[in-house]
Amino acid sequence: MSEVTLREPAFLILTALARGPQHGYAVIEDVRQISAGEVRLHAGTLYAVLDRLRGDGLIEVEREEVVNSRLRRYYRLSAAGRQRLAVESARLRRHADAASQRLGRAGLAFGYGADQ
Amino acid sequence: MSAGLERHYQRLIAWYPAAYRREYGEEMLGVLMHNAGDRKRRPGLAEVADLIRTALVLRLRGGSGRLVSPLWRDAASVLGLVAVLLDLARPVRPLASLLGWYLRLGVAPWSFASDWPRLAVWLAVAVAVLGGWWLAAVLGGALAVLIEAVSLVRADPAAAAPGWSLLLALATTALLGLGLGGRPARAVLGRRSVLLLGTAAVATGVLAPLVQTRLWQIVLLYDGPTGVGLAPYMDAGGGIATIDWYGIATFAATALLVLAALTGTAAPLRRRIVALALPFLVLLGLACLRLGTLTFGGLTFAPPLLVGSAWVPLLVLLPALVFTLAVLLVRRRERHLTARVAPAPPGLP
Repeated sequence: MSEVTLREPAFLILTALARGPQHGYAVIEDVRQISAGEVRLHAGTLYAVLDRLRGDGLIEVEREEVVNSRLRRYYRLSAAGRQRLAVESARLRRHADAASQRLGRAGLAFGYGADQ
Repeated sequence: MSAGLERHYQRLIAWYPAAYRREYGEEMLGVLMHNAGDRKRRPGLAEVADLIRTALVLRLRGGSGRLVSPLWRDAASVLGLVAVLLDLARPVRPLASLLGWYLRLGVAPWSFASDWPRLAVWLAVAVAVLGGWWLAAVLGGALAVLIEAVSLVRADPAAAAPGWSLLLALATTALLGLGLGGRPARAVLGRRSVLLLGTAAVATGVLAPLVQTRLWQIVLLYDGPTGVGLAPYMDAGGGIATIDWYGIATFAATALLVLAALTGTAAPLRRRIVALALPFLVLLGLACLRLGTLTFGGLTFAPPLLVGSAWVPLLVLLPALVFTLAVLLVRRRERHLTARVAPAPPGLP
């Protein structure tokens, strides 16, 4: 299977589910927190990505329940999903480290709060 | 919670394919209503846009959806770019030719007005494909199909047979639809290959007709206040050449550049590109035969098999059959390779 780079919403959804099984609305909230409010998933995008991740075997349905007469489904990472998230995190870390090193060499590096 | 708001959301969810609604509709409605809280009365603009956009993407993806593996999407993405460049080269050629004749004669021998919409649409689709904006590319392709269909019907309402450009536009849009949501071709192929494909498009669309206007002889039919009439021909030692060697050389050079661009791809991707290209080539071959315009080396083929209405099912059935066979061959080949690479350990069944 080819390792197609994960797009940001997919990466953040997998990251949210790495904490444990969550339902759709909780994923939206968690993604917002993880991204410090920068990424706000709408329901259309959320379910399109969840559908694709399920299709690729990276997540699975853990359980279903009915709350206030509405279906609530909990999703969790599959083993393949955990592995994929680890690979993707390592890849992004490598890129970020390379960028920091080069900025450091050019005297442009700054960490959190360095500009304050 | 408002019943009116729920109805609004239900109407928006109705845009999704039925199977998708069955799987996620109720859950989506729950999330949308939960997210809305108690005070919201109507869906927000961004929310409406997001729901409609994803519904359209899913509908355009049709039955393929997640059944299409990333490798097939990559192959469709690559072939989609090749097809779009071919589509773009078609309206660019007469424009380049017009420029060439203008530079040579000092007057424009014909008008280009009717080709502008075609050129503008394919240019926009090419930009969308290179940028990876799939939905825009597919919608642009659909618009091009519409333009081709209208121009075909306008030219000859009696002959509803699909012309070259319409078939090419249909096939291109189908490929773009298959690649929907996948990686853009530049991410799959790399910069070198995309540059080679771009060179092929410029060579066949711009350079070849420009050079042709320098090489060819002309018979000036008239030169009056309403314009210039001319009949260009290739000189072959004092006579008119019966074989278009220049056209064949252009075709060969373009094909070589395209092949060079695809040689760097991995074997599994290459196999899928070939499998997708085969029905495309069969379709174009059939169109040539039906339209009686398969001119190669100055000869026109008009086979007796393809007469009457027999060609209509053939246009659908034969490419579909070829594609099915190609997919089966790809799967068989890969099963064979997997079995060779990973034989069962001794002692295990």
